[in-house]
Amino acid sequence: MWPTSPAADGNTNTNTNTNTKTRARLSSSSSSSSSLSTSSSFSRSSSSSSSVAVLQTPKRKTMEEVWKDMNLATLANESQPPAAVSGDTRHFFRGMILQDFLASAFKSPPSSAVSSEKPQLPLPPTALSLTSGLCGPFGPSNLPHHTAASSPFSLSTKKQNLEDAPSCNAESDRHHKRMMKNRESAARSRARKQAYTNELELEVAHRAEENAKLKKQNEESGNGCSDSQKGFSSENFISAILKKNTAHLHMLVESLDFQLRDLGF
Amino acid sequence: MSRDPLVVGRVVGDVLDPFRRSASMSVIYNNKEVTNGSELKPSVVAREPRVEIEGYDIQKYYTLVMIDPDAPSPSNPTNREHLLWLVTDIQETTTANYGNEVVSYESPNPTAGIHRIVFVLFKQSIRQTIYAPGWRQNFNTRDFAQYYSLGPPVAAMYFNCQRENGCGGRRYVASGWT
Repeated sequence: MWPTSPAADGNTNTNTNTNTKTRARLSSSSSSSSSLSTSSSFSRSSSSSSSVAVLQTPKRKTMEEVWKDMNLATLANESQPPAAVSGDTRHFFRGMILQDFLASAFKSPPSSAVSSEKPQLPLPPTALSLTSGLCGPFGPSNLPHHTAASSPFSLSTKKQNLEDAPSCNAESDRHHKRMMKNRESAARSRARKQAYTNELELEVAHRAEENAKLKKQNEESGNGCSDSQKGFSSENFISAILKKNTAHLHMLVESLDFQLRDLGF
Repeated sequence: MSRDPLVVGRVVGDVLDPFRRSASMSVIYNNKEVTNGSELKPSVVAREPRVEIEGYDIQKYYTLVMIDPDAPSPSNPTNREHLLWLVTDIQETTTANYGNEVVSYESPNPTAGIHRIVFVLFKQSIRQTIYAPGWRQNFNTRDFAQYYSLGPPVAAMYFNCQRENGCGGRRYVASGWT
């Protein structure tokens, strides 16, 4: 469902447009990614294109409006106006705006779902590769969280690159690759940390349980309830008594001896 | 989403299929038991560990596989998996040192990135002969288990390992470069 709590991510939200922000939140899933598009469906379900298509339909108009607003209002530049793109799919349309937006100002993480269906667009190649590449790690690694967390980092590094980058394919490919690798590496790092934390938690829980069990056992044996314990202390007691009796007997024998001697035996 | 460290660390997925743990295995390097998912330096793991299998039934035999699925580097695992150690016919109550070492222990020595080093334990239904593969690279634990009808693993654990003077997988020192 649409999260109603404020998305207080450190990740994104340099948007000053509150309208957009609200819409962004509404459209983003409960995952940490607050991407301003219909990637919510994508990150929630792992790359089932049918669900992506279905979920995108109702929001499309909103998103387009959003992008249009942003594009017109905030982008005073060379980007192709939204109206120029016609006769293409909605996806393409949104992608255009998105990428233009990204090309000029890195304000938010790109849409991952959008990129899934347009490999060839006549746009600034770096921006293209930026979004089209996002689908890469989703398939194999299946970690819905890593986009958002890794994207601000990689996006911020790429910001500079995109701004100076010429429309040279080799360079954009390299950037693209680097970004992908970085993303995966960040995901692995997070997984590593999480796995170790989980293991420690499990161990702590296990030891606490054992501890409680042993304490209980200890208590019970302390009261002399367990048979073995009882036996042991009884033995001690008995042997003590035996010793004492033996000593007594000794004394008695000696005194008897003495008395017998007196009597002349 | 499972919280099992093996799943979170993608060992189940990259190397193994999901399985139910039915044996208890401890891996001990230098008298210290390794915690799943912890990090060890190559110097610590230079010699083979003591691998103890809990239990008292000497009729049970186990096979231990130790692999590195992130060879040569985690971002480019072209040699996945690199076989480090293969011991068969290990009995309960004993350790892997008393089994039949089919492939001798190779010290993990990652050069790039942080590698996972995985131990997988299989239960042998019979005392069988297992042959060493021709080479250590590109070993496939799943196929291996299938080939020798070992069934699903009964235990697994892993630790992380990087270069002795590694800096957490970063190519550059973190201070000046992101």
